[in-house]
Amino acid sequence: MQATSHTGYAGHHDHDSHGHPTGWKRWVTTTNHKDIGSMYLWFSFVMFLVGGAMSLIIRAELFTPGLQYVSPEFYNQMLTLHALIMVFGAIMPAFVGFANWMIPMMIGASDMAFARMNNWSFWLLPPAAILLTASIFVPGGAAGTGWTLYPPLSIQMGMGMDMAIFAVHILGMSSIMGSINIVTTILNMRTPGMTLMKMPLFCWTWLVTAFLLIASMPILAGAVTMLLTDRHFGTSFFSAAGGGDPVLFQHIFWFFGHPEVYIIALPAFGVVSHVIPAFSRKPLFGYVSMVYAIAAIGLISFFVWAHHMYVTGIPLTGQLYFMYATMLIAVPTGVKVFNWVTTMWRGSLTFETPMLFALGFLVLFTIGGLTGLVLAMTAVDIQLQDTYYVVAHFHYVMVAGALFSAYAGLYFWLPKWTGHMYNETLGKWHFWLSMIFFNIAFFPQHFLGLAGMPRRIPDYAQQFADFNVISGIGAFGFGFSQLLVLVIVVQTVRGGARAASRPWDGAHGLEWTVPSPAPYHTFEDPPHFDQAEAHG
Amino acid sequence: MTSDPSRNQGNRRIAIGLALFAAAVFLSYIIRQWMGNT
Repeated sequence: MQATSHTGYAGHHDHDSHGHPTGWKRWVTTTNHKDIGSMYLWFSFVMFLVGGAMSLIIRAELFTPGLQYVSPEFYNQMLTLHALIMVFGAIMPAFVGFANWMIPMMIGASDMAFARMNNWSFWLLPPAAILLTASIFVPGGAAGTGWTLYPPLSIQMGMGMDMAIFAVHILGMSSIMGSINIVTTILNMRTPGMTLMKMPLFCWTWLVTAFLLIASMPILAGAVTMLLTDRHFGTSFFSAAGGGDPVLFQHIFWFFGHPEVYIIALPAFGVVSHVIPAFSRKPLFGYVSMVYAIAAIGLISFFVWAHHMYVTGIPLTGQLYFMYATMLIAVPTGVKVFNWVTTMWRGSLTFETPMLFALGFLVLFTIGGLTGLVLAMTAVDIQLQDTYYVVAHFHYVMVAGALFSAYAGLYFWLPKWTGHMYNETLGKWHFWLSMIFFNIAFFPQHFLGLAGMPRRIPDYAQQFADFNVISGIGAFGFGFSQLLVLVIVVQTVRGGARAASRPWDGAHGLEWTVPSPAPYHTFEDPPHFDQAEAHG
Repeated sequence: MTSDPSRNQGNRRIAIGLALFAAAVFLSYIIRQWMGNT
């Protein structure tokens, strides 16, 4: 796709010279949404590498049956931290980084509504990350409960558990403040003429996501606070010995935990909804139905939580309700998938790296969605609960869904952020290595689960050995091929072919009317909103 | 744009409303369980 530039940006010269701090002070004190977006993205990449290293420890241990490298306790700590770091430290901050960079530019706002709170939202993350990772070194080690933090184990563990609880509190505060900022920005800072139904879909997905966060994060905070008082202040919310109920924790956790899945997935949908039309050179098919589908997914996500708990003894009627409610989510999700496919239908398609990752997302996320439907069925889930089938399912959703979409967004918007085109050849290498190794790593795990291999164990029976070797090879290949991202991004930041203001000729929206790289300050006066840039 | 007083007031109202909602969700869960436990 060739660079074409027709910039309608009649705005401002670069205000870089206006005396804002430089060096480390710039980053610590910044209130600029672009700086904060960049910090979120770099932070998430660092955490992605840390969480990824932990997953490789897990796969190394599982490469052959028996205990090789780590103790079972340490293995449990690795899988817990891997999950917590990837969910709260890598994927969520990555999409918040995209939101910070793109939402103000997409809606024609000069910055986020609360710029200083935005700075605080980001700077809460490093202490939380340090608490989580440092907990490995305290007596008793890190939390080894899995990311679900289920009691009674989470009541019994050492101070690593307290550190995880505080980290979750801090991450929750950061998320809530970030969400309030995003909702306020979207509702109150759009340029005149941009009605909600003309707003870019990425903003719509983030509007719904932010509401989900505001409604669900306090629930997690409540759950871990009760866990903390059970551990140290003599309460018995979840302790059976004191008359409490450990299953209650599961209900509360998953009342947060299932919306959390969509908190991760919805912004991913938003990114893909920009990339596919741009590289199909067609408007998004069914914009209005996409908006309603996003809202429906967000709403239904609050009513399906106990599909994670079919084996806890909930009544049959409850199982049936949660089964059908969960299947209902496939309807709006299907609407979205068909709309993306229909957008491509008879489009003038090209397959640059962002489009490849978006297509990879589309195919693999659909597989993850279908295995989700399999798991939604109570009778099947009772067989597959806590097996590797579940692990395979949610990695298809989280890695091939969220991460691939994040890469699509990264390659799509990198020219706008840096002013340079990335290396397309390396980008394609990155995609194909990721696509191949991801499937080698995770597809065999479906078979392992169907054969009955339980998750969260460092050792396994001999009959599971072959598929674990294949999965291990895929995991290491996938892990190391992610280092290509670092090479590509550093190369692009340092130089490369100049990017036009609209480097993708099929891309539309106000963000493409500003020069590349985007000036430090954009849209200090509300821009003219041209119908040609409207999405609805 | 951010210096528009009426817009700033609107921003604050939305933010305070959302923050109160988040606090209410957090407290309602804990208080409800607390009442149930005692």
